[in-house]
Amino acid sequence: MSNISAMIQAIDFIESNLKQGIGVADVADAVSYSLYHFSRMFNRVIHHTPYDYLMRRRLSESARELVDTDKKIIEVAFDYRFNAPETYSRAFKRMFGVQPHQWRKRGPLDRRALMCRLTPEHIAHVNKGDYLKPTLVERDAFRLAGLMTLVRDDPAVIPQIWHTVAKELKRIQDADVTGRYYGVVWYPSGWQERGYLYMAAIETGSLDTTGSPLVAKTLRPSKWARFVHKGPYRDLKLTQDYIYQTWLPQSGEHLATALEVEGYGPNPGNASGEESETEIYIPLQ
Amino acid sequence: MSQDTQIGEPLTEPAIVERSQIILVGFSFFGDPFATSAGWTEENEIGRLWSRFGAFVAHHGDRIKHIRDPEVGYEVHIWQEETAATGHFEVFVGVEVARLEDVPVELSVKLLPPTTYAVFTLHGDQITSDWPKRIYSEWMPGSGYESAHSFMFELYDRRFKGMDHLDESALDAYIPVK
Repeated sequence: MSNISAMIQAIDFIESNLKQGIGVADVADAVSYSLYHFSRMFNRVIHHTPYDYLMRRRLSESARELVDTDKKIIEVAFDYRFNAPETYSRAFKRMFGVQPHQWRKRGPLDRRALMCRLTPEHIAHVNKGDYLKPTLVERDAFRLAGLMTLVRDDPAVIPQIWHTVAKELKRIQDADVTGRYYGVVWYPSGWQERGYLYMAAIETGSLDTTGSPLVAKTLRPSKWARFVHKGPYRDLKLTQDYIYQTWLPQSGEHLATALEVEGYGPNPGNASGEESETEIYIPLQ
Repeated sequence: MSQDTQIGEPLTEPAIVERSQIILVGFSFFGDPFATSAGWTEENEIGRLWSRFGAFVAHHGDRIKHIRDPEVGYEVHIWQEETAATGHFEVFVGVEVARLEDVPVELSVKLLPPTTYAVFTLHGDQITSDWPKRIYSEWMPGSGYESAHSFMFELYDRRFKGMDHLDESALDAYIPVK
Protein backbone atom coordinates (compact mmCIF):
# COMPACT_ATOMS: atom_id res chain seq x y z
CA MET A 1 0.00 0.00 0.00
CA SER A 2 1.37 3.40 -0.91
CA ASN A 3 1.69 6.09 1.70
CA ILE A 4 -0.96 8.13 -0.07
CA SER A 5 -3.56 5.38 0.06
CA ALA A 6 -2.65 4.64 3.68
CA MET A 7 -3.19 8.30 4.54
CA ILE A 8 -6.54 8.31 2.74
CA GLN A 9 -7.45 5.35 4.91
CA ALA A 10 -6.25 7.25 7.99
CA ILE A 11 -8.50 10.17 7.06
CA ASP A 12 -11.43 7.75 6.72
CA PHE A 13 -10.70 6.36 10.16
CA ILE A 14 -10.54 9.84 11.68
CA GLU A 15 -13.78 10.86 9.96
CA SER A 16 -15.63 7.81 11.28
CA ASN A 17 -14.43 8.54 14.79
CA LEU A 18 -14.72 12.30 15.23
CA LYS A 19 -17.07 11.76 18.15
CA GLN A 20 -15.07 8.88 19.64
CA GLY A 21 -12.20 9.31 22.03
CA ILE A 22 -9.51 8.35 19.54
CA GLY A 23 -5.95 9.63 19.63
CA VAL A 24 -3.26 9.83 17.00
CA ALA A 25 -1.82 6.46 18.11
CA ASP A 26 -5.17 4.82 17.32
CA VAL A 27 -5.10 6.24 13.81
CA ALA A 28 -1.55 4.98 13.30
CA ASP A 29 -2.65 1.53 14.51
CA ALA A 30 -5.61 1.56 12.16
CA VAL A 31 -3.28 1.81 9.16
CA SER A 32 -0.55 -0.41 10.69
CA TYR A 33 2.14 2.24 10.97
CA SER A 34 4.27 3.04 13.98
CA LEU A 35 3.30 6.36 15.51
CA TYR A 36 6.63 7.85 14.47
CA HIS A 37 6.43 6.78 10.84
CA PHE A 38 2.74 7.67 10.69
CA SER A 39 3.40 11.19 11.88
CA ARG A 40 6.06 11.70 9.27
CA MET A 41 3.96 10.34 6.42
CA PHE A 42 0.75 12.10 7.45
CA ASN A 43 2.52 15.44 7.60
CA ARG A 44 4.14 14.87 4.24
CA VAL A 45 0.98 13.76 2.45
CA ILE A 46 -1.70 15.81 4.24
CA HIS A 47 0.30 18.93 5.22
CA HIS A 48 -1.21 18.94 8.71
CA THR A 49 -0.04 17.15 11.80
CA PRO A 50 -2.43 14.28 12.53
CA TYR A 51 -3.50 15.96 15.77
CA ASP A 52 -4.09 19.28 14.05
CA TYR A 53 -6.28 17.63 11.42
CA LEU A 54 -8.26 15.72 14.06
CA MET A 55 -8.83 18.87 16.13
CA ARG A 56 -9.72 21.06 13.13
CA ARG A 57 -12.22 18.51 11.89
CA ARG A 58 -13.81 18.13 15.32
CA LEU A 59 -14.02 21.89 15.73
CA SER A 60 -15.41 22.39 12.21
CA GLU A 61 -18.12 19.76 12.62
CA SER A 62 -18.98 21.17 16.04
CA ALA A 63 -19.19 24.65 14.49
CA ARG A 64 -21.67 23.31 11.96
CA GLU A 65 -23.77 21.78 14.73
CA LEU A 66 -23.80 25.04 16.66
CA VAL A 67 -25.50 26.69 13.71
CA ASP A 68 -27.62 23.79 12.46
CA THR A 69 -28.96 22.48 15.77
CA ASP A 70 -30.28 23.75 19.08
CA LYS A 71 -27.96 21.57 21.12
CA LYS A 72 -26.42 23.19 24.16
CA ILE A 73 -22.87 24.32 23.58
CA ILE A 74 -21.64 22.12 26.41
CA GLU A 75 -23.27 19.07 24.80
CA VAL A 76 -21.62 19.82 21.47
CA ALA A 77 -18.29 20.17 23.27
CA PHE A 78 -18.65 16.81 25.00
CA ASP A 79 -19.89 15.12 21.82
CA TYR A 80 -16.66 16.09 20.12
CA ARG A 81 -14.57 14.90 23.03
CA PHE A 82 -13.61 18.16 24.62
CA ASN A 83 -13.49 17.34 28.30
CA ALA A 84 -14.29 20.84 29.54
CA PRO A 85 -16.22 23.79 28.10
CA GLU A 86 -13.21 26.05 28.65
CA THR A 87 -10.96 23.74 26.64
CA TYR A 88 -13.53 23.77 23.88
CA SER A 89 -13.94 27.56 23.89
CA ARG A 90 -10.21 28.12 23.84
CA ALA A 91 -9.65 25.73 20.94
CA PHE A 92 -12.69 27.12 19.13
CA LYS A 93 -11.51 30.69 19.46
CA ARG A 94 -8.06 29.73 18.32
CA MET A 95 -9.44 28.31 15.10
CA PHE A 96 -12.33 30.69 14.36
CA GLY A 97 -11.39 33.83 16.24
CA VAL A 98 -14.68 33.94 18.16
CA GLN A 99 -16.26 32.08 21.07
CA PRO A 100 -18.77 29.29 20.34
CA HIS A 101 -21.75 31.39 21.53
CA GLN A 102 -20.72 34.31 19.31
CA TRP A 103 -20.37 31.95 16.36
CA ARG A 104 -23.85 30.58 16.99
CA LYS A 105 -25.35 34.09 16.99
CA ARG A 106 -23.51 35.10 13.87
CA GLY A 107 -25.43 32.65 11.75
CA PRO A 108 -24.61 31.39 8.26
CA LEU A 109 -21.34 29.60 7.89
CA ASP A 110 -18.45 30.79 5.84
CA ARG A 111 -17.24 27.53 4.44
CA ARG A 112 -13.82 28.99 3.88
CA ALA A 113 -13.31 29.09 7.65
CA LEU A 114 -14.22 25.44 8.14
CA MET A 115 -11.79 22.59 7.65
CA CYS A 116 -13.59 20.31 5.24
CA ARG A 117 -13.16 16.57 5.13
CA LEU A 118 -10.19 16.00 2.84
CA THR A 119 -11.20 13.83 -0.08
CA PRO A 120 -8.88 11.64 -2.17
CA GLU A 121 -9.10 14.45 -4.78
CA HIS A 122 -7.80 17.00 -2.27
CA ILE A 123 -4.97 14.69 -1.28
CA ALA A 124 -4.00 13.90 -4.86
CA HIS A 125 -4.09 17.62 -5.64
CA VAL A 126 -1.79 18.53 -2.76
CA ASN A 127 0.64 15.80 -3.78
CA LYS A 128 0.93 16.76 -7.45
CA GLY A 129 4.00 18.82 -6.72
CA ASP A 130 5.40 21.80 -4.92
CA TYR A 131 3.38 24.39 -6.76
CA LEU A 132 0.90 25.06 -3.94
CA LYS A 133 3.58 27.06 -2.22
CA PRO A 134 2.64 30.71 -2.72
CA THR A 135 4.89 33.61 -3.49
CA LEU A 136 4.32 36.70 -1.41
CA VAL A 137 4.13 39.68 -3.72
CA GLU A 138 3.98 43.41 -3.16
CA ARG A 139 2.41 45.05 -6.13
CA ASP A 140 0.69 48.18 -7.27
CA ALA A 141 -3.07 48.26 -7.15
CA PHE A 142 -4.98 46.16 -9.65
CA ARG A 143 -6.60 48.65 -12.06
CA LEU A 144 -9.47 46.79 -13.63
CA ALA A 145 -12.43 47.43 -15.88
CA GLY A 146 -15.28 45.02 -16.34
CA LEU A 147 -18.69 43.96 -15.11
CA MET A 148 -19.90 42.54 -11.85
CA THR A 149 -22.61 40.01 -11.12
CA LEU A 150 -24.11 38.27 -8.15
CA VAL A 151 -23.52 34.52 -8.21
CA ARG A 152 -26.06 32.58 -6.22
CA ASP A 153 -26.75 29.02 -7.20
CA ASP A 154 -25.85 28.99 -10.85
CA PRO A 155 -22.23 29.75 -11.81
CA ALA A 156 -23.33 29.80 -15.48
CA VAL A 157 -23.74 33.57 -15.07
CA ILE A 158 -19.95 33.83 -15.08
CA PRO A 159 -19.33 32.79 -18.72
CA GLN A 160 -22.32 34.97 -19.71
CA ILE A 161 -20.81 38.04 -18.16
CA TRP A 162 -17.46 37.31 -19.76
CA HIS A 163 -19.20 37.24 -23.09
CA THR A 164 -20.64 40.69 -22.47
CA VAL A 165 -17.31 42.09 -21.29
CA ALA A 166 -15.57 40.79 -24.43
CA LYS A 167 -18.18 42.42 -26.67
CA GLU A 168 -17.91 45.76 -24.90
CA LEU A 169 -14.12 45.72 -25.03
CA LYS A 170 -14.23 45.32 -28.80
CA ARG A 171 -16.31 48.48 -29.03
CA ILE A 172 -13.70 50.54 -27.20
CA GLN A 173 -11.19 51.14 -29.98
CA ASP A 174 -8.27 52.66 -28.14
CA ALA A 175 -8.56 50.47 -25.12
CA ASP A 176 -5.46 50.85 -22.96
CA VAL A 177 -5.39 47.32 -21.62
CA THR A 178 -2.62 44.92 -20.67
CA GLY A 179 -4.30 41.85 -22.08
CA ARG A 180 -4.45 40.12 -18.72
CA TYR A 181 -7.85 38.95 -17.56
CA TYR A 182 -8.94 38.70 -13.98
CA GLY A 183 -11.94 37.49 -12.03
CA VAL A 184 -12.52 39.17 -8.69
CA VAL A 185 -14.62 37.47 -6.05
CA TRP A 186 -16.04 39.33 -3.05
CA TYR A 187 -17.46 37.38 -0.15
CA PRO A 188 -19.93 39.66 1.66
CA SER A 189 -21.10 38.46 5.06
CA GLY A 190 -23.83 35.89 4.68
CA TRP A 191 -22.60 35.02 1.19
CA GLN A 192 -23.27 31.34 1.71
CA GLU A 193 -26.96 32.12 1.55
CA ARG A 194 -27.09 35.31 -0.45
CA GLY A 195 -24.36 34.64 -2.96
CA TYR A 196 -21.01 36.20 -3.75
CA LEU A 197 -20.05 38.95 -6.17
CA TYR A 198 -17.98 38.20 -9.22
CA MET A 199 -16.33 40.74 -11.48
CA ALA A 200 -15.12 39.75 -14.95
CA ALA A 201 -12.38 42.23 -15.72
CA ILE A 202 -9.39 43.18 -17.76
CA GLU A 203 -6.37 45.02 -16.43
CA THR A 204 -6.09 48.53 -17.75
CA GLY A 205 -3.96 51.59 -17.34
CA SER A 206 -6.43 54.40 -17.84
CA LEU A 207 -9.35 52.96 -19.73
CA ASP A 208 -12.03 55.51 -20.39
CA THR A 209 -15.24 53.71 -19.56
CA THR A 210 -17.46 56.72 -20.13
CA GLY A 211 -20.14 55.76 -22.59
CA SER A 212 -19.57 52.07 -21.95
CA PRO A 213 -21.36 49.82 -19.46
CA LEU A 214 -17.99 48.67 -18.17
CA VAL A 215 -17.07 49.90 -14.70
CA ALA A 216 -13.62 50.66 -13.40
CA LYS A 217 -12.40 49.21 -10.14
CA THR A 218 -9.12 49.65 -8.30
CA LEU A 219 -8.05 47.07 -5.74
CA ARG A 220 -5.88 48.74 -3.17
CA PRO A 221 -4.31 46.12 -0.91
CA SER A 222 -0.71 45.83 -1.96
CA LYS A 223 0.46 42.70 -0.18
CA TRP A 224 -0.74 39.47 -1.74
CA ALA A 225 -0.09 35.77 -1.57
CA ARG A 226 -0.04 34.52 -5.13
CA PHE A 227 -0.91 30.87 -5.69
CA VAL A 228 -0.92 29.02 -8.96
CA HIS A 229 -3.73 26.55 -9.33
CA LYS A 230 -2.61 23.84 -11.72
CA GLY A 231 -5.31 21.78 -13.37
CA PRO A 232 -8.81 22.39 -14.70
CA TYR A 233 -10.61 25.52 -13.52
CA ARG A 234 -13.46 23.36 -12.24
CA ASP A 235 -11.03 22.01 -9.60
CA LEU A 236 -10.22 25.50 -8.32
CA LYS A 237 -11.93 24.68 -5.03
CA LEU A 238 -9.19 22.16 -4.23
CA THR A 239 -6.63 24.94 -4.26
CA GLN A 240 -8.96 27.33 -2.43
CA ASP A 241 -9.54 24.79 0.34
CA TYR A 242 -5.80 24.36 0.65
CA ILE A 243 -5.27 28.11 0.84
CA TYR A 244 -7.87 28.82 3.52
CA GLN A 245 -7.72 25.65 5.57
CA THR A 246 -4.10 24.60 5.37
CA TRP A 247 -1.85 27.41 4.21
CA LEU A 248 -3.46 30.38 5.93
CA PRO A 249 -3.59 28.97 9.48
CA GLN A 250 -0.03 27.67 9.20
CA SER A 251 1.40 30.82 7.65
CA GLY A 252 0.55 33.15 10.51
CA GLU A 253 -0.76 35.60 7.89
CA HIS A 254 -4.19 37.23 8.06
CA LEU A 255 -6.61 38.16 5.31
CA ALA A 256 -6.86 41.89 4.68
CA THR A 257 -10.32 41.78 3.09
CA ALA A 258 -12.78 39.12 2.02
CA LEU A 259 -11.89 39.10 -1.64
CA GLU A 260 -9.91 36.96 -3.98
CA VAL A 261 -8.44 37.68 -7.41
CA GLU A 262 -8.23 34.98 -10.03
CA GLY A 263 -5.73 35.62 -12.81
CA TYR A 264 -6.43 33.95 -16.15
CA GLY A 265 -3.66 35.40 -18.26
CA PRO A 266 -4.52 36.36 -21.83
CA ASN A 267 -7.12 33.59 -22.37
CA PRO A 268 -10.01 33.72 -19.94
CA GLY A 269 -12.33 30.77 -19.76
CA ASN A 270 -9.88 28.48 -21.50
CA ALA A 271 -8.54 26.56 -18.51
CA SER A 272 -9.87 23.05 -18.77
CA GLY A 273 -6.70 20.99 -19.16
CA GLU A 274 -4.59 19.25 -16.53
CA GLU A 275 -1.71 21.58 -17.35
CA SER A 276 -3.65 24.82 -17.38
CA GLU A 277 -2.87 27.36 -14.71
CA THR A 278 -4.96 29.93 -12.88
CA GLU A 279 -3.48 32.43 -10.47
CA ILE A 280 -5.19 33.07 -7.15
CA TYR A 281 -4.28 36.22 -5.24
CA ILE A 282 -5.23 36.51 -1.58
CA PRO A 283 -4.93 39.96 0.01
CA LEU A 284 -2.88 39.93 3.22
CA GLN A 285 -2.68 42.38 6.09
CA MET B 1 16.41 7.57 -2.55
CA SER B 2 12.81 6.49 -2.59
CA GLN B 3 10.59 8.74 -0.53
CA ASP B 4 8.05 6.04 -0.04
CA THR B 5 10.10 3.09 1.03
CA GLN B 6 8.37 1.31 3.81
CA ILE B 7 9.68 -2.18 3.59
CA GLY B 8 13.45 -2.10 3.21
CA GLU B 9 15.58 -5.14 3.89
CA PRO B 10 14.32 -7.39 6.69
CA LEU B 11 15.85 -6.50 10.04
CA THR B 12 18.63 -8.70 11.33
CA GLU B 13 18.44 -10.09 14.86
CA PRO B 14 19.41 -7.50 17.44
CA ALA B 15 22.35 -7.65 19.78
CA ILE B 16 21.27 -7.58 23.43
CA VAL B 17 23.50 -5.27 25.45
CA GLU B 18 23.54 -3.86 28.97
CA ARG B 19 24.35 -0.21 29.41
CA SER B 20 24.82 1.72 32.60
CA GLN B 21 23.45 5.25 32.89
CA ILE B 22 24.15 7.33 29.78
CA ILE B 23 24.70 11.05 30.33
CA LEU B 24 23.87 13.18 27.31
CA VAL B 25 24.20 16.91 26.73
CA GLY B 26 22.42 18.58 23.84
CA PHE B 27 19.14 20.16 22.74
CA SER B 28 15.55 19.02 22.91
CA PHE B 29 12.25 19.60 21.14
CA PHE B 30 8.73 18.64 22.19
CA GLY B 31 5.83 18.43 19.77
CA ASP B 32 5.25 16.93 16.33
CA PRO B 33 8.68 17.27 14.76
CA PHE B 34 7.30 16.85 11.26
CA ALA B 35 4.81 19.70 11.54
CA THR B 36 6.52 22.02 9.08
CA SER B 37 8.09 19.60 6.66
CA ALA B 38 7.83 15.88 6.66
CA GLY B 39 10.46 15.07 4.11
CA TRP B 40 13.72 13.37 4.87
CA THR B 41 15.41 16.69 4.61
CA GLU B 42 16.92 18.72 7.34
CA GLU B 43 13.93 21.01 7.42
CA ASN B 44 11.87 19.15 9.98
CA GLU B 45 12.35 19.87 13.67
CA ILE B 46 14.70 16.92 14.14
CA GLY B 47 16.93 18.21 11.37
CA ARG B 48 16.78 21.67 12.92
CA LEU B 49 17.83 20.27 16.30
CA TRP B 50 20.84 18.61 14.70
CA SER B 51 21.72 21.82 12.86
CA ARG B 52 21.48 23.85 16.06
CA PHE B 53 23.56 21.33 17.91
CA GLY B 54 26.11 21.21 15.08
CA ALA B 55 26.35 24.99 15.08
CA PHE B 56 26.84 25.04 18.83
CA VAL B 57 29.61 22.44 18.61
CA ALA B 58 31.26 24.36 15.78
CA HIS B 59 31.38 27.55 17.83
CA HIS B 60 31.68 26.28 21.38
CA GLY B 61 32.83 22.68 21.07
CA ASP B 62 35.75 23.31 23.38
CA ARG B 63 33.33 24.25 26.16
CA ILE B 64 31.76 20.79 26.18
CA LYS B 65 34.03 18.84 28.51
CA HIS B 66 34.35 15.10 29.10
CA ILE B 67 32.88 14.07 25.73
CA ARG B 68 33.24 10.33 25.31
CA ASP B 69 33.39 10.41 21.51
CA PRO B 70 32.69 13.62 19.57
CA GLU B 71 31.83 11.61 16.46
CA VAL B 72 29.00 9.71 18.08
CA GLY B 73 25.65 11.50 18.14
CA TYR B 74 22.53 10.42 19.98
CA GLU B 75 18.93 11.07 18.94
CA VAL B 76 16.56 10.10 21.74
CA HIS B 77 12.77 9.87 21.31
CA ILE B 78 10.81 10.05 24.55
CA TRP B 79 7.09 9.37 24.80
CA GLN B 80 4.99 11.11 27.42
CA GLU B 81 1.47 10.84 28.77
CA GLU B 82 -0.04 12.74 25.87
CA THR B 83 1.92 11.07 23.07
CA ALA B 84 -0.76 8.50 22.21
CA ALA B 85 -3.45 11.20 22.02
CA THR B 86 -1.58 13.94 20.17
CA GLY B 87 1.41 12.27 18.54
CA HIS B 88 3.60 14.84 20.29
CA PHE B 89 6.82 13.58 21.83
CA GLU B 90 10.25 14.76 22.88
CA VAL B 91 13.30 14.54 20.68
CA PHE B 92 16.70 15.08 22.25
CA VAL B 93 19.94 15.22 20.26
CA GLY B 94 23.38 15.41 21.76
CA VAL B 95 26.61 13.70 22.71
CA GLU B 96 27.56 11.48 25.60
CA VAL B 97 29.74 12.86 28.38
CA ALA B 98 31.60 10.89 31.02
CA ARG B 99 30.71 13.16 33.93
CA LEU B 100 27.91 15.55 34.65
CA GLU B 101 30.21 18.52 35.14
CA ASP B 102 31.06 21.73 33.32
CA VAL B 103 27.95 21.64 31.16
CA PRO B 104 27.55 24.90 29.17
CA VAL B 105 24.35 26.64 30.20
CA GLU B 106 23.07 26.59 26.61
CA LEU B 107 22.85 22.80 26.66
CA SER B 108 20.31 20.55 28.35
CA VAL B 109 21.10 17.28 30.03
CA LYS B 110 19.40 13.94 29.54
CA LEU B 111 20.09 10.98 31.83
CA LEU B 112 19.17 7.64 30.33
CA PRO B 113 18.62 5.03 33.04
CA PRO B 114 20.71 1.85 33.19
CA THR B 115 18.91 -0.78 31.15
CA THR B 116 19.15 -3.63 28.69
CA TYR B 117 18.87 -2.68 25.02
CA ALA B 118 18.03 -4.61 21.90
CA VAL B 119 20.32 -3.01 19.33
CA PHE B 120 19.27 -3.14 15.68
CA THR B 121 21.67 -2.00 13.01
CA LEU B 122 19.78 -0.32 10.19
CA HIS B 123 21.25 -0.06 6.71
CA GLY B 124 20.32 2.00 3.68
CA ASP B 125 16.60 1.95 2.90
CA GLN B 126 15.81 0.47 6.29
CA ILE B 127 16.62 3.85 7.80
CA THR B 128 13.66 5.52 6.14
CA SER B 129 11.38 2.50 6.45
CA ASP B 130 8.89 1.96 9.25
CA TRP B 131 11.40 0.05 11.35
CA PRO B 132 9.81 0.98 14.70
CA LYS B 133 6.74 -0.92 13.51
CA ARG B 134 8.88 -3.94 12.67
CA ILE B 135 10.62 -3.84 16.01
CA TYR B 136 7.71 -3.15 18.34
CA SER B 137 4.91 -5.00 16.54
CA GLU B 138 6.72 -7.76 14.72
CA TRP B 139 9.99 -8.60 16.44
CA MET B 140 9.13 -7.88 20.06
CA PRO B 141 6.02 -10.04 20.53
CA GLY B 142 7.89 -13.22 19.62
CA SER B 143 11.18 -12.27 21.22
CA GLY B 144 10.53 -12.92 24.89
CA TYR B 145 11.29 -9.27 25.56
CA GLU B 146 9.03 -6.33 26.22
CA SER B 147 9.54 -2.58 26.16
CA ALA B 148 11.28 -1.46 29.36
CA HIS B 149 11.06 2.33 29.08
CA SER B 150 9.16 4.97 27.19
CA PHE B 151 12.13 6.01 25.11
CA MET B 152 14.49 4.71 22.44
CA PHE B 153 17.48 6.23 20.75
CA GLU B 154 19.34 6.19 17.48
CA LEU B 155 23.11 6.24 17.54
CA TYR B 156 24.84 8.01 14.66
CA ASP B 157 28.58 7.50 14.15
CA ARG B 158 31.12 7.28 11.31
CA ARG B 159 28.96 4.70 9.56
CA PHE B 160 26.30 7.31 8.89
CA LYS B 161 27.17 9.30 5.76
CA GLY B 162 24.18 11.63 5.69
CA MET B 163 20.66 11.52 4.26
CA ASP B 164 22.06 12.10 0.77
CA HIS B 165 24.11 8.93 1.02
CA LEU B 166 21.70 6.57 2.69
CA ASP B 167 22.82 3.64 0.56
CA GLU B 168 26.23 3.66 2.20
CA SER B 169 24.92 4.53 5.65
CA ALA B 170 24.11 2.63 8.81
CA LEU B 171 22.95 3.52 12.29
CA ASP B 172 22.01 1.66 15.46
CA ALA B 173 18.56 1.77 17.03
CA TYR B 174 18.67 1.11 20.77
CA ILE B 175 15.41 -0.23 22.19
CA PRO B 176 15.21 -0.57 25.98
CA VAL B 177 13.90 -4.06 26.80
CA LYS B 178 13.35 -6.27 29.80
